[in-house]
Amino acid sequence: MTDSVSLYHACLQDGSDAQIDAFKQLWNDLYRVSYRMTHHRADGAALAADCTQAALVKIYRNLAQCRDPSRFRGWAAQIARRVVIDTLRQPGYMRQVPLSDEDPGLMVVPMDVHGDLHALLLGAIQQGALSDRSRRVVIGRFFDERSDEELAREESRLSGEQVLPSHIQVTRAKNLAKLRRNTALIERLREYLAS
Amino acid sequence: MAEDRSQRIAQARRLAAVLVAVPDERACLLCLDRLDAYVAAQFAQDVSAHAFRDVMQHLDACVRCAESYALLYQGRVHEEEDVALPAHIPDPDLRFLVAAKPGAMPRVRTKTPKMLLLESLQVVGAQVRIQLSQALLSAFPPSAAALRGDTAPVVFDLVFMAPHASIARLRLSAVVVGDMPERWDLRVLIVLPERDWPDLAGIPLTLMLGETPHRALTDPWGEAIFAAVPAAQAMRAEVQIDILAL
Repeated sequence: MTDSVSLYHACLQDGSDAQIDAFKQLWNDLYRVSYRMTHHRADGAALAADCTQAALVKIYRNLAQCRDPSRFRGWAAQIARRVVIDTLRQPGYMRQVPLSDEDPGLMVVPMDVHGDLHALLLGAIQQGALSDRSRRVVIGRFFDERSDEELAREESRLSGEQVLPSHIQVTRAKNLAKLRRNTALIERLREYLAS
Repeated sequence: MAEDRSQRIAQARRLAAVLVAVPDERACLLCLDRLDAYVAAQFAQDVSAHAFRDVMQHLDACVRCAESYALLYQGRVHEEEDVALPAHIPDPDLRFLVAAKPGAMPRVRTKTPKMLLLESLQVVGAQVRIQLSQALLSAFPPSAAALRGDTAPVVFDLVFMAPHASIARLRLSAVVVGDMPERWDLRVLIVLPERDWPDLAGIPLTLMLGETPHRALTDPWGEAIFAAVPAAQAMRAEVQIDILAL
């Protein structure tokens, strides 16, 4: 495998066979990077090819921005990953998983918390329409100050399945979004933060 | 006890701040720019809560970015697990490179017009970019329809549907200037989801001819014209739209 510095300099040699070979090598490397992010989709292979092609063009146009040729491979891989993310964020690509239909307006905002913001939030989480896991990952992060790696290990142990820190993050983001639908709670929080 | 109480208050305020946050496009872009470094730090078990606090807060506040983060993280996991690749990996299309030496024929993958159109579109940071190319223009032969009553020959007419969440439609077209086939008037028409005439005036557009930027503002219909562009440059031009300026 060609080292990063040699690969980088070959990519700069306009009109040469070395440049063509270098971009073919980049294609092979970056296709793997893209495919690992898209393989779970039915159109994963085609999407990986399209994203990698776009990444090659972007890399070619921005070669001068690679300030450290010894990190050229990593720099190129970062561009490929970003192309995949940007592509999948476009309308029609990102699967929109709807939040639960449970009415967040039924969540009670505790009134007898004597100005205790901590108790208010804990009450809203415990009384809200969240699953046990959802409560654990929200409370675990914000009140127990546990990392997502720790929370993932615990959830893996509880469920008997592999749970990644990224799963924990998405679960927490979605359930915080549910809490956000409790407009009475949000209004109370704004008052607290403004005071 | 006082320390416990102040810690509880700080924890609660952090959660409250995340709940009341309303992320905007700029916050998403800043987060996306740092996601790669954040995931790399996680895998190196070198995540400093302080260094990535803004990223972590945004991921809690924005489901869309949290899902992008999960995509990136899981990609790294699969990298370490060495996911099996498809039996056939296609060849790249290297025609974008400066022409190779005579006799050196890069293997070319046949692309549909739709693929060329999608490939010409990029979102880079807060910018939507359309890169024109000979291959793209050849894939879309000129339309016979006139533009707003013009009778000038239409060189090309490309339509991008929803190239970005903030843009409903983008149309790039070119007409020959008078009797000068080597000069084109390049037109860019933007249609936004919730704005209409005359509120489409003043959107800044940039046309890159090589390394030289040319700027124009849209009229009340959302159209800007770059007049008398040399055809050879227009064929390789790049149109840039700053999403944050919409």
